[in-house]
Amino acid sequence: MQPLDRLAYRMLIGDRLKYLSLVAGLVFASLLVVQQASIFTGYADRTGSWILDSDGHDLWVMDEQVDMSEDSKPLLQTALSRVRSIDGVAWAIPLYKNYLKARLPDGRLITVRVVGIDDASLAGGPRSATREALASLRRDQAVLVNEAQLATTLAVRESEGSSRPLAIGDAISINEHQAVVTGTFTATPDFFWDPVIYTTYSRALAIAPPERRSTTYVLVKARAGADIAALAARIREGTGFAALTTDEFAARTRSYVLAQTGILINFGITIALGFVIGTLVAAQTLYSFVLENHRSLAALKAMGVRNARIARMVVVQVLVVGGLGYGIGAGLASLSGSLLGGAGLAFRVSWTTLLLGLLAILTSCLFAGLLSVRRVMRLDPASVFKT
Amino acid sequence: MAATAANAPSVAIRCSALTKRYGSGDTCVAALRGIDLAIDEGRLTMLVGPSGCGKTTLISILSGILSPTSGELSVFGKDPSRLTDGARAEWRATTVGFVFQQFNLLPTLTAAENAAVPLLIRGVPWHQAVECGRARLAELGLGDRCGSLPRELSGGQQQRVAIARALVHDPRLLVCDEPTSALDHETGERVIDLLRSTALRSGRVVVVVTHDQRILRYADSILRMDDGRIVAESEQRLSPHT
Repeated sequence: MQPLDRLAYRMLIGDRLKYLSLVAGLVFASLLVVQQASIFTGYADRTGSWILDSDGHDLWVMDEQVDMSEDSKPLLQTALSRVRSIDGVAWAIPLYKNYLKARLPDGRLITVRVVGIDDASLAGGPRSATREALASLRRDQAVLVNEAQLATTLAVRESEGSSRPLAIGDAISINEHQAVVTGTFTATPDFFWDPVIYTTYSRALAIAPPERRSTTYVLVKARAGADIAALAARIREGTGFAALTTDEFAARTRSYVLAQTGILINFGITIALGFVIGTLVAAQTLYSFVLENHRSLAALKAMGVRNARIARMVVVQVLVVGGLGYGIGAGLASLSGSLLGGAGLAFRVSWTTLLLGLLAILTSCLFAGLLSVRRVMRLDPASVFKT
Repeated sequence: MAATAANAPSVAIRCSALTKRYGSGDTCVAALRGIDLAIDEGRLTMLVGPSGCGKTTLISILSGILSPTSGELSVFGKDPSRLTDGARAEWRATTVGFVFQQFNLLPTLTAAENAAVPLLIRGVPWHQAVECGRARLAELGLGDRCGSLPRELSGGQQQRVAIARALVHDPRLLVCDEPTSALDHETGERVIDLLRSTALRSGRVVVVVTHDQRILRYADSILRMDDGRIVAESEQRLSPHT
């Protein structure tokens, strides 16, 4: 460490109270920025949960106007044949998805997302479902439900205010059609809250109100060794439908949700507020810290320290408090995320969040530091001779 | 003051028709109105005069902090006002030592670290510089207070730390602004005695601005200033260890 850098560090840490208030302001700002950004990332990730949980195929084929996974714009049943006719398709199966009303054993009416998967292959079902659970769909009236929702959204209220988890063997009514829970699956926590209920494609059509267009998606498996992007392009060209990989469909859904809901703006405002308040506190403290050292810095200038070197000293001080404050703040945010993650909080600390957060905090600190150092730059070293 | 004998010490500082004006137009204030001055090496010169007479402006120019508006200046053969800002800062760091009225010690550094600051400015490694600061403090009788913070020292001790700081890099010009005004009489006398005995050696020049009449007897020469001019000069024959 250069001697004057060390001098700057000693000047910084010498006044413990000011040093701690500087660090505390930045801890607060960093905590808010990283925590809110990580919750935002967690929620954004969850928008694609249902898509990513789906298993066994390479492409989702859908109406080109579909914006997201919950946006149902069904295709004619002939779509399936058209897709199957495209060169490079190993197999293609229909998938039905619709929002329907379900009545629980206690008489409560809730909205559910009914997903009908191919009767023969049972492909397109949840990745986490066991072979036995999937096979149970071949039974009459069978449906699979999300295990995590058995004791929450799907809990059965009993007398005297108590409730019990929905259990395998329980009968529910979906759109006035009886269904029986024959198995469960474990879904990734989802941004969309209505429970997903899997059944077979034909049973889903039997349950749902009749519609001319009944195929929400066509799931496509490419032939071995086929270029997925080229196949998607051929499907688009040959059918006029959109053909997306799982990641592309999840990304499209995420973009739509972020653009069309207030989530991005709301989180953005919270992040910005935390950032502004925290950095204003830190900037104000840093500014007054530099000004309170005005006389010492003027003396250093008189003794031959150049302006650029004074600026570097302030930068060293900023990097120390900024780095420390950010490290503690980001650490606390990560800790709070891992503690609250168990309670179902959407939270993911990404490297992008950490790097952008660090950049933002250090930039604002440097800005505040250099604002204050401007006054020192203009400081007349002869002022040290004044009392 | 100017050298008159053939074997007299050489002139360290020379000013000719030096002026300094602040502001311009109607608000222009003349702080120096034509200073002619020559100071020999190895002498302690005191500048006295009423407040606002230009003493501080003059030492600011001599030490390369301010530039004169006009006139000739030579400090150890160089005119600091003709240097670039960076070169002038470098020149101050190597050539000038400062003792300020309010000491201007860095409050979070120990006495030894404060004394080491000019060496740190010159890039000397921390431990080496602090060792030198410690040695200077020991010479000034503060060897046992090297680890103390300024707030733990008396006014006299703080000024001794400031003197150690001013001398640690062995500058040729020592500029002292009211070094005794914040001290009681006895401490002030001790400090100026210390300045004279420690700072004054062949080749070095000490310039002291003061209002304190009691310390004038320590000066080799006294320059009285008024209204931006030197109005009287007097010399005293003193040994360096008076």
